Amino acid sequence: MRKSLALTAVVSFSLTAPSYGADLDDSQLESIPVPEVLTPVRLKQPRTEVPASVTVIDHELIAAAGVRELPELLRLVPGMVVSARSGWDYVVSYHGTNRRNSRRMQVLIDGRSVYQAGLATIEWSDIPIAIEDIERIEVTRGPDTAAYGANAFLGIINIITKHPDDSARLRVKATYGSSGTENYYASTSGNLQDSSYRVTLGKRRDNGFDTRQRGDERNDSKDAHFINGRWLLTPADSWNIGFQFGYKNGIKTDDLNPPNVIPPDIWVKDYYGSVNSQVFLSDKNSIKWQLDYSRTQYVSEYRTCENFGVIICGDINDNSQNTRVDFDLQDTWLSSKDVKLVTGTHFQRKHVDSQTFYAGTIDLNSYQLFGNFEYRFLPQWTATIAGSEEKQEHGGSDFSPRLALLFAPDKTQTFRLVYSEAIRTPDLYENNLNWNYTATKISPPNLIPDPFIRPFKKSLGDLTEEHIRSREFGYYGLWFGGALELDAKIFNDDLTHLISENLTNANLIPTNSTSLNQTGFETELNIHPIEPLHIHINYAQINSHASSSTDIANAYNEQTLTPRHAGSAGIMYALGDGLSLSSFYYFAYPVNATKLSRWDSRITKQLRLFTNNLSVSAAVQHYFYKYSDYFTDNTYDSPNRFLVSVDLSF
Amino acid sequence: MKRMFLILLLWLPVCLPASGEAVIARIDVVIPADNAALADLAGGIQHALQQSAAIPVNIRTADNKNSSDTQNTLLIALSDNLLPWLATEKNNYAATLAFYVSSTAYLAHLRNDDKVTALYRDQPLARQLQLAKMLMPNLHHVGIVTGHRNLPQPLAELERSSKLEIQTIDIEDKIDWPKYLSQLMLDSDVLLGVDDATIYNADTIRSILLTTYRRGKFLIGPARSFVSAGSLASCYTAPDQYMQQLVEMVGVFLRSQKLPRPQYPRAYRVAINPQVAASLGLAVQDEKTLTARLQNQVGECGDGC
Repeated sequence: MRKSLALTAVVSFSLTAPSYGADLDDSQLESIPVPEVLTPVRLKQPRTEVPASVTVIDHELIAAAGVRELPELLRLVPGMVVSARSGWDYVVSYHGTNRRNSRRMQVLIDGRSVYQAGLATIEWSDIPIAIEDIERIEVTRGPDTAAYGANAFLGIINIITKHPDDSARLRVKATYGSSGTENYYASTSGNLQDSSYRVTLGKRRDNGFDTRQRGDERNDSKDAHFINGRWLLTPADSWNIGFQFGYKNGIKTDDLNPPNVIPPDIWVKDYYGSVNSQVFLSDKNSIKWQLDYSRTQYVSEYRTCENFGVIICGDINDNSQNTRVDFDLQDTWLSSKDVKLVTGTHFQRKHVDSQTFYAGTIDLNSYQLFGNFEYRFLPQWTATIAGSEEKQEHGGSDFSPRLALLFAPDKTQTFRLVYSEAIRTPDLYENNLNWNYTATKISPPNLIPDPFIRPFKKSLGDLTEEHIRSREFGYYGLWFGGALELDAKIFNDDLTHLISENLTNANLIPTNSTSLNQTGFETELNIHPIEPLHIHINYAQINSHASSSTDIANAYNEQTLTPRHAGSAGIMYALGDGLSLSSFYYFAYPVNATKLSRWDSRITKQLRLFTNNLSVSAAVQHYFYKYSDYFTDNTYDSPNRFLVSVDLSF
Repeated sequence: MKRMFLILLLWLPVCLPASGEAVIARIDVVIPADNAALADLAGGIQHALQQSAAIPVNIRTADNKNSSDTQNTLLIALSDNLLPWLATEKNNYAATLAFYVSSTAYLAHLRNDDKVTALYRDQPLARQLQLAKMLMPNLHHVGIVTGHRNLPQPLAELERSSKLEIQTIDIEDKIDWPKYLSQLMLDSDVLLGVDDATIYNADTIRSILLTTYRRGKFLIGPARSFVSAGSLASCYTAPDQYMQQLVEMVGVFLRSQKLPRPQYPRAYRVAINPQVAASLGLAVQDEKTLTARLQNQVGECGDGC
């Protein structure tokens, strides 16, 4: 009797079960409801679905490379040319082109542009962040004004600092090395309720290069201290807000001024503040906004003398103050897993105050609207249509389109075809220059007026946008379960209306007269065959052909910074017991008749002291050629340079 | 067919008359007052047990749990909240089966009590590790975040059975616990979730997931609800599967008067979050294939799988 009852139970259970069992998701049984955290809008796009050439330098690669200057890290990016005009004046440019300034790249730190409009350059040594605080650097190799706005002409360098939760509670580090190198770093971070913070203090100094080709000593040192902070709050699941601030104060010496002038020191003060927030409206829609403010003040005052029949001396200066305000608003909408739409607007206000360069102050506003539509129209095919409309005050407006087609035969590899156009609007320094030297404290007095104004150079204000039309065919793939990551592309870029003249030369009036064609191939390989071993390789071959309708020198200028071959190869090996070795070889040639061939090696020993980490490392850089850094005046006395550092984290 | 036979075989004890005098005359199912889903589940238990065991089954809420007649009664207690009470002398039921409780919570309160047993809510860690290995064949280092509670399975045993290196950190009472987690995720390939509500709860899951994710790593487990939140994958057991095992356990007890040892759910499936996988470039198969593959490997992960 019981037996039959039990059998009935089986049957009746399976029959009655659907009334509650089938509808009842076990997740509903959880006593605590779990919020949906990583909704699609919070997830990052997989590398295989990115419609662009991208290189990521993560904090592990940064640590292994062992360099102490931010631009040096960018040698790990295929096609990126890193050069220096002096010990502190770095020039970084994708595919090179004109050595004058880093005018054609967009550089962002946590979304904030560090481009100095008033000087038309990126002052790499004035960026007030420490390498130790960088989580990763994402480099978009190719124009993308559709997503990043003005100056994203050749490429974008996006520097992302560590989340405070990923920083040590307290970290102190000291680095000493050749050429009077001294770096100090101290950082503390923690949590306050629903927020995380980090504050960093740093100091960097070195003597720059050692000697000129003719044998006399270089005067290109830098010495700066800085403080910066980041505070991130997540009051609710649906939104977060972050604050950043920074201050830097430093002095640089310079020896590239006219010969009749005693080289002045340059005092630099840099302040910035930034607020950004992200609001998740739904699992498909999020809004992000960011407001940035930055001000950089250059003070460089000196006394100069001139022969008016009588030698007359006066005080002049190269002072300037550059302010920049940016507001960015963007909406990301994923209507389904196959359709993604990013739209937004950007406002930028530049203000420069310099009696010498602009005879007073200049303000310039610009506006941008952008959109990026991504549609997977077949399971393996995705098309991207993007564009940006940019309008500069007192100027016309320009549209830059970007089209990409992605073919993903499977989830681990993609072929991409990209066509993009971009513009670079001429900068204040190019188009609005009104360069006069005002001499004061004239001696002997009463021979000439005091103050005495000497016009130096004035822009005609007739420059139009530089233009690039870029085509690339690329491949990205993960092989052997991710043990090998390969990216490769061939490209053909036409750059027209380039402004190529030396802007600091009083006799040269800038024009839009140069055209440049660049073709080539570049590749990046990351190999991780076994647990302790990492290999990073990159190589680029670039062919440049330039012409100018006005001056052959312009065509020459546009090819000076472009090497025909450039690349690097690095190997990182963890020996165990906290001991790790890394070795990187860098090469680029020819760059303005110099040839870079450098081998860096580094050994690190990590010790655990209770719960703290002590890390001691020693590195050597060996230069195979004396003339390695663009100018033959950029030399070090010894082919070997050393760096030791002690790093303690709690 | 073979499985069907096995199920029938397992059901056999329920059908056989109990040896000696039947002591248990009633079953009380106690549920928390405010959980509709658990009340629904209790209804299912009542229905199934009344038919299989042929004794009265009452459903009570937790605030009404003290019954006058407990000598001949089996208590089936649902929810972790009842565990502290079960461990006290106030619980004078003849026998107690804690159902749908987390193993960490159960072991924290009721280790070595022969009048109490459990059918755990959570999946055995060894099974979750086996799933992680299947999804990531190059897996070496696993991180586990714990509180003051012990892991339900000894660490050394887990390491031996999974052939993985496992590092654990205790983050309870640490205000800056995201830092500990961040450091752990620097050294680990994956974070293995443990069903411990003091660690994995609605307040912490956001930080746990975002920290893990920032390090480019995945969370495995601890339960299906966490997969929708952003965990890569988890094994889970469906309500009907739990109920089937519960009915078996009760049958064994009624027949032998001896409580079976605490156990994990035997039957399971795999849940996966394909968006999370894609976002970090991990190719994964569908849930059905993964379930079948994992079930085929069960022999490899020893006790608890």
